[in-house]
Amino acid sequence: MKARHSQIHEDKVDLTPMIDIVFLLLIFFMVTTTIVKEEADLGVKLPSSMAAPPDTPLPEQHYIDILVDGTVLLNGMPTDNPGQTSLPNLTRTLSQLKESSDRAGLKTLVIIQPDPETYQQSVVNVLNALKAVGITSVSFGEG
Amino acid sequence: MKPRPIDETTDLPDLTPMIDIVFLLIVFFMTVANMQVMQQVEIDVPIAESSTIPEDRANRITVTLKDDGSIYYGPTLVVLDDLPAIISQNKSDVPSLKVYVRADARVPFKHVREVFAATAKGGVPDVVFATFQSDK
Repeated sequence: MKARHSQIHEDKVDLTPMIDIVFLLLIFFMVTTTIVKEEADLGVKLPSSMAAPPDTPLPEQHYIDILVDGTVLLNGMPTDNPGQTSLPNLTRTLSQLKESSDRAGLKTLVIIQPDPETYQQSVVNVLNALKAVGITSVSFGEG
Repeated sequence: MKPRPIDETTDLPDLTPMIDIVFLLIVFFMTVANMQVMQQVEIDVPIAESSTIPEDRANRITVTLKDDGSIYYGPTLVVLDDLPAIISQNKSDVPSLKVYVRADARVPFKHVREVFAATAKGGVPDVVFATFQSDK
């Protein structure tokens, strides 16, 4: 009978090929998986739900127009340059307007009138500014 | 000098813990990869810094709006006219239903308005836009 070579390791399973395969699998999944960025919420309550009691004082209304190129007009006056994600001028003016209506005990209602062809990002920019200021009564009108 | 005890495997490091870890990593990456494929239609959602990451994503249905105006309910392509019926059916099962609108950043607003109208027709006033908190 031929003598066996590795008498010492006879009882051990050779794990090397398995480890090779496992590493290959690991590298494959690491490369193909893109880590998903978590999506966040920006809520809008559509006005149909807001059943106001009859004696509610009329809110202070402001109109925000969004033009097709993303230019934002607050009550007809241009605020920030188009193409910006943050709207610092709009945010500042709105927070002043909200402060003064809060002092008068009135709610602030903002009616957004986006151009039908404007991008969703421009509308989200305005909603973002409204949320930063704390204005919750938002309605959409025809742009 | 004391003689070393005879150990047949001293020249081989113990690989068991490493294999354990590697298997765990594989299972992790396999699960993550599958979840991504199953759940979402691929779009670029808009960026909004003031948006918040919700703790609870229950009681919501996902409507995805691609930049060409096509509408998906979950992963299935639907037509706009079917949307109110789908929403009101979900609403009857879950009264506190929210509609999670994943609209592409470059979709014209008129399509979003149509989805709004369908949502209102389905009897759900709560609409949540999907956003990223930053562009990174």
